[in-house]
Amino acid sequence: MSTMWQEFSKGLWKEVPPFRFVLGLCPTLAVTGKVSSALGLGCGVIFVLMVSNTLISIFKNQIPGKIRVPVFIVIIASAVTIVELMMEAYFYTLFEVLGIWIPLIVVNCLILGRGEAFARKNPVHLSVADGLGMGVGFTISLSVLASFREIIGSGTWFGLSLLPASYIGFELLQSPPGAFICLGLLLALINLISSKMEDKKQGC
Amino acid sequence: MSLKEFLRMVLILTLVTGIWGGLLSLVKIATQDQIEYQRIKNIKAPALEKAINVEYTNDPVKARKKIKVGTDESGNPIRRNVFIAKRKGRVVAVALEGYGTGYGGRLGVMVAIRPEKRIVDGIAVTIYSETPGVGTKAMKSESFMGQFSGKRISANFGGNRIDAYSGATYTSEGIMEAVEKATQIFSQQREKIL
Repeated sequence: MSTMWQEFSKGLWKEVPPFRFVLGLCPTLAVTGKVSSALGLGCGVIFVLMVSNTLISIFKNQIPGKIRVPVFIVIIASAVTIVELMMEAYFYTLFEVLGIWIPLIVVNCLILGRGEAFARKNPVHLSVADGLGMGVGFTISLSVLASFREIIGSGTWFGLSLLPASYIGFELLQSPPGAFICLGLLLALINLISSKMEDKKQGC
Repeated sequence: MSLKEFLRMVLILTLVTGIWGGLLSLVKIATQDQIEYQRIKNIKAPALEKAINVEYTNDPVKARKKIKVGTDESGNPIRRNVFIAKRKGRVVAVALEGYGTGYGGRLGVMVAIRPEKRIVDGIAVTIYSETPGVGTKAMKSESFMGQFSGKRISANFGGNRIDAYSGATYTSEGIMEAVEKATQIFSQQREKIL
C-alpha cells in the first residue's frame, strides 16, 4: 500500500510532469487561459493516462518489444477518441473550447512517456497509481497556471468575477507569450521552494 | 528476425487495432444520438428561441422529427429537421428551416408556424453570408422581420405582402423566399409533421 501511495504522490510534487520534466508543454500553454478548460483537458488526460498505463501494464509480457510503440500509440489514440466522443456528447461547450487540443492528447509526450518509462516495467497496481498521480499532478499544474493567468489576466476565476469591475485586466497574460512568462515564473517558484526544502533537510 | 517472430508481431498488431476498432465503433454508436442532439441544440436553439414567440414547455430540439423534402441528384432523400414546440402536450408551434438566395449566397431562415391558426409565429435567420452592415441590417430590423409574424401561411410572401428593407432588397427577398419555401413544405406535409 505504501509503495502505491509513493507512486501516486510522486506525480503531485517530486515529479510533477509539466514543471519537473517540462513534458506536455503544448497543451499546458494553450489551454491555460481559463481554469475551466484547463480542468477539462486535465480530466481527459487523467482518463487516457489511466487507460494506457493499465493496459500497457497488463499486456507488457505479450507485446513484443519491437512493436511496442505502435501498440502503445493505438491504445492511447483509442482512449483519446473515447474522450473526444464523450466530451462532444455530454460536455459540448467544453468540447468547443478545447477543440483541437483533445485529439492532440495523443501526442502529449507525458502519456507515451509514462507507458514507456513506467507501466512497461511495473505491475498493474503500481502503474494505475502512477497514472493517476501523474494525471492529477498534470491537472493541478494546469489549473494553478490557469488560475494565475485568468485572475491576473482578466480578473475572473472559473468565469466568476473576483476583482472589482474597474479592474481592466492584464491582457498580456491571456495571450500566448503570457503563458510562457507565467510558466517561467511558476518553474522558478517551484525550484525555489524545493531548494529551500533541501536546505532544511540538510540542516537537520 | 525469424519468420515466426515476424508473424507474431503482425498478428498482435492486427489484434490490437481490430479490438480497439470494434470498441470504438461501439462507443460511437452509443454516443451518436446524444452528439447529434448537442450539435443541433447548440447551433439551432438560438434561432429556435427567437422564431417561436408562443409559450411552450417542452424541448423542441428533443421533440424533433425528420421529414423528407425531396431527393438530390443521385436520388438520395434530402431530410430536414422539424422542431415541435408543445404546451401541456399539445402542439403549439412547429419550426423548420427554409432556404433562399440573398445577395451573398444561401440564406437559411428558421420559420415557426402555429399549425392551428395556420399563421407564421416568427422567423430568425440561421445561416447567411450577407454584407455586414448592409444586408445584415435587414435581418436585425424588428420592423422588417416582425412583418412575417401573424401572416397566413397560405399567403404569398414575396411581392406586395411584405415590405422589403430599404437598401437591402436582395437580402429581404432571400428571406421572403426562404419563408415561402418553409411554409410550402409545411403545407404539403402537414399530416406527416403533426
